[in-house]
Amino acid sequence: MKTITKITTTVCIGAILLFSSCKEDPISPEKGYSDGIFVVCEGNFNSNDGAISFIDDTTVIKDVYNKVNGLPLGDIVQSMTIIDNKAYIVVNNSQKIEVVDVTTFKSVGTITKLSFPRYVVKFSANEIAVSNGDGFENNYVYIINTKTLAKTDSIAVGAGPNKMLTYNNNLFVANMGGWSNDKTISVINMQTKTVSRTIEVGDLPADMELDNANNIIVMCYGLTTYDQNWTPTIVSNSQLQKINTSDFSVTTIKQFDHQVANFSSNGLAYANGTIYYLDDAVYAISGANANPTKVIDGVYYGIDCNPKTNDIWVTYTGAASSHKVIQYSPSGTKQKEYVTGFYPNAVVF
Amino acid sequence: MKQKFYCISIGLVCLCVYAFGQIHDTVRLDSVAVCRNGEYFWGGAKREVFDNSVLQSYASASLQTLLQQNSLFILKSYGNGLSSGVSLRGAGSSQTQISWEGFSLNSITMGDMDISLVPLLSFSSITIDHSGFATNYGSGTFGGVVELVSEPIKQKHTSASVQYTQGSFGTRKYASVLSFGNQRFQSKSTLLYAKSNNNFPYYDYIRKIHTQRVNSEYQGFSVTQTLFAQWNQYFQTKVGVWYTARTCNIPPIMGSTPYFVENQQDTSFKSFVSNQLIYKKFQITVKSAYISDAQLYTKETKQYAKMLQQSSIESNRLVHTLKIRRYLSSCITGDAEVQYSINSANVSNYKQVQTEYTKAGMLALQYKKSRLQSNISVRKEYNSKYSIPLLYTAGIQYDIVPSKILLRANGGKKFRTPTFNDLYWEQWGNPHLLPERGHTWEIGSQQTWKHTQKMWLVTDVAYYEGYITNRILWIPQGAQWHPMNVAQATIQVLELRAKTGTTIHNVTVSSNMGLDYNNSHIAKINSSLQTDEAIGHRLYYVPKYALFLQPAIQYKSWNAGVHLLYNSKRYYSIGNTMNQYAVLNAHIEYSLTNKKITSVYSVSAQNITNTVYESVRSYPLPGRYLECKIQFLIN
Repeated sequence: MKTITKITTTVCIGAILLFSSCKEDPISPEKGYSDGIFVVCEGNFNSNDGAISFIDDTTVIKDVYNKVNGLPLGDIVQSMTIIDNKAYIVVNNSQKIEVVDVTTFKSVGTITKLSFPRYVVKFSANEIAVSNGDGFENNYVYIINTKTLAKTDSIAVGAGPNKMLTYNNNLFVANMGGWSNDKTISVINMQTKTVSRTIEVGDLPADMELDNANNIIVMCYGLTTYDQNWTPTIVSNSQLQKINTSDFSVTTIKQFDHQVANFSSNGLAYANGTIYYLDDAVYAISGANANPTKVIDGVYYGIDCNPKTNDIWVTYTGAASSHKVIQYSPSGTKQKEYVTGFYPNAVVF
Repeated sequence: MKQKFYCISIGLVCLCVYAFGQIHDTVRLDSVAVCRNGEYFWGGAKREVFDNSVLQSYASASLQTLLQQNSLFILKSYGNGLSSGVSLRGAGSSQTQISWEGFSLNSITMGDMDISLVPLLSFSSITIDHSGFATNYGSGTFGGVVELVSEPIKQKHTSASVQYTQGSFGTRKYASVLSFGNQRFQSKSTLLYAKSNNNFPYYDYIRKIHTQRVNSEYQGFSVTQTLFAQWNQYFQTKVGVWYTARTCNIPPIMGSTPYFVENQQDTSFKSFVSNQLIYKKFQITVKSAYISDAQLYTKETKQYAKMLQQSSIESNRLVHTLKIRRYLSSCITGDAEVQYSINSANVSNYKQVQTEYTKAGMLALQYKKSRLQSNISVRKEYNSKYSIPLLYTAGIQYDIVPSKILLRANGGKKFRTPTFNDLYWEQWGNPHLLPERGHTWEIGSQQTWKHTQKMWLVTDVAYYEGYITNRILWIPQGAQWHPMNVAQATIQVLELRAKTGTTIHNVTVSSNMGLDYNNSHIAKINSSLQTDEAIGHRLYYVPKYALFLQPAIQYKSWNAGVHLLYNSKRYYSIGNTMNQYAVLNAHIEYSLTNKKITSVYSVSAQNITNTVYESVRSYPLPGRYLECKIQFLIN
């Protein structure tokens, strides 16, 4: 009997040792995640598989938040903004913003009590602004203290506040409409924290960029309405517009004869005097010439330009292949591609 | 690895040959008394039996509760009242068969069986056949088989039982049983009704808020009727009917905003007829079963109650079997069986009604003599869609030290056909899938260190290994998921069990405990579909370590116990895990007998420590749950 006990014990311990294994982490503790780029991956709706993918020359980590913190990030990761060595990750359908140290990616806090958060910008030395609202209710820009992560102010804006941009002590908020519709840009005075004016633009202003002349370029997608049987009616086509930040006047750069083939909030990019936008391909508009030229074939979900190299990064979310980001030179020559998490919508440099 | 398998096979064959050398000339029919009518040979298999004495205290509970609290099973539960799947030894729930009187209940559309719809009071015993020989049960037994058994009480009796349960979160359950009969005729009827609001508070660790689950109400009922007739000394008939209906709302997952209202309605009708003729050395069994399942799923917007999605599933299965058992000698019994089944499904997401035909033939031989029990069997199955290999099984068990040490071993070939959803789901299914195939082997030993009225200690150790090729996994390709024969999975599990107890005066203290070490992993993968990080990766939802401890104390009419379950972290996708957890449950029970009526009062508490845990990713399970039961047994 004793012999059998010994054999049994030996077999158990041996099996446990034999089957145990470990893997080396490819990220060095000193460098952390400081030397690379991040990709915002929305994930599938109601699947809690939204992620931030990390890419450097040798490594792709599809879900760096989960890898570091051991928890899923949540449902529909909308955006990520780096402010003062902290990354603010907006998780739209989980109604929160995760705050992480951008080097270690360890969670340092969570902003909750949000209903439909979209984007974050730096508002002051100790404050950030968060656009929030689904178009029907809670359409606010919230001001959050970065130390306490608590709301300090709520500023009512148009329906579905989305992309934001700061210039000359003004916060420009594109009211994209959320589940409803809108066609305005709210301008918030950053001193008084009030809406100083509302600028009317095309229907569904989705994305904005500041150009070299400090004008705001706005991509308006155009409006489609639906009846009770979900039959669509096109009310207006897309417009690419420019807001003069001195007199707040609006001029149209391009009036499309259709609605652009993109529905993300990241269909516009700007680098080195060139506007890039997504439609049935990637188009570029340079200088005073309003006629676009096709630079990259293919339909993409999001576009960003590397501010250092001016490379164009597009995100691909085709239905039947891996979701990825593709790096192109400014002239449209393909450089590299990286498989990421589900539904990448933006690249953060 | 193949060499190892062949060596073990040769060893088993040698033992069988040795065993056949011991055959006596005189013919005795001891096997009739030992084998349950129609039961397959299972020599060398690891089996756990929960008999009526165990099931009695779970009268209003489902199979899910029994398995959760009595051993180490991998349960994937979407919450109280919602669907639950069970899997054994690291295999998936579609690789673990739930069998009723020998008929598989696993859904032909989804592959698994919702064990939250199995009322325990309907059955006389539940047997967990961990080894699950494919030659006996057919497709989908890599993880084993859970057998639901309804054996008649062949004596004059009349008994009835009613039970009422009131639990947390607005839970109410009503159960009743009526059983009567004599040596020639028996009847057992059961009825179970359960209803719950089920909106429990929980901590959403993704949204990082304490919140309340919404839209998770359910109600359902189950009714069964079993009839048994012994027409004469040779001929007997058993008939069973089982109807279940349930409607449940599907709550939003953790971490998401509840924009939708989802509802699922399930109905299931199951029936069988079994006729058995026992004449001299023959036992001839003719059985038929008809199983019909239906499910309706709806999804509406919360704000406008506008229907967004509606899908329905209807499936039917008709099975006929003819089995002939011949008692060849006092030690040797032979079985021959043929089966014919038709499976059909009408699903809104298939393009058309799909039908599959299966024919199978099985031959088996058992040798049984005092300390030795062994069996070999082969099965050939013909499917209207696939080529299925010849299956074989060999098993042996031997009392190396009589009543002290039992050694057992078995091995064989197994397979699993793709489910209808795998094949035909519009746009997502893959009609080119091949059946999973592979082999498993197992060695084990049971040691009885002490077994007296006053003290007992029994331990069991088992090692199980299996190789599954053409493993079917749903792989994301962009936003769409498609099932593919992507991998070879290896199942490796070491299981330790112990039962001990002692009785001093009127106090009995006992304990069951178990520890599993599971190294089931992906061994090989189609490189065009997945990166190398998948190779060697642990199978999803399989904990590396699992532990349960179940001490109990009994004093006169009082009975109290504690149940502790620990599961280490489990992967739900490549590299991503769910946290480890330990859940503590407890119960106390008092019974009072007055003439022919016994009343039982009990209080139980589940998840006493309010542990935040999940068995399916993002589906929170309730914190502390209290339940009070009152039961009257009339004999």
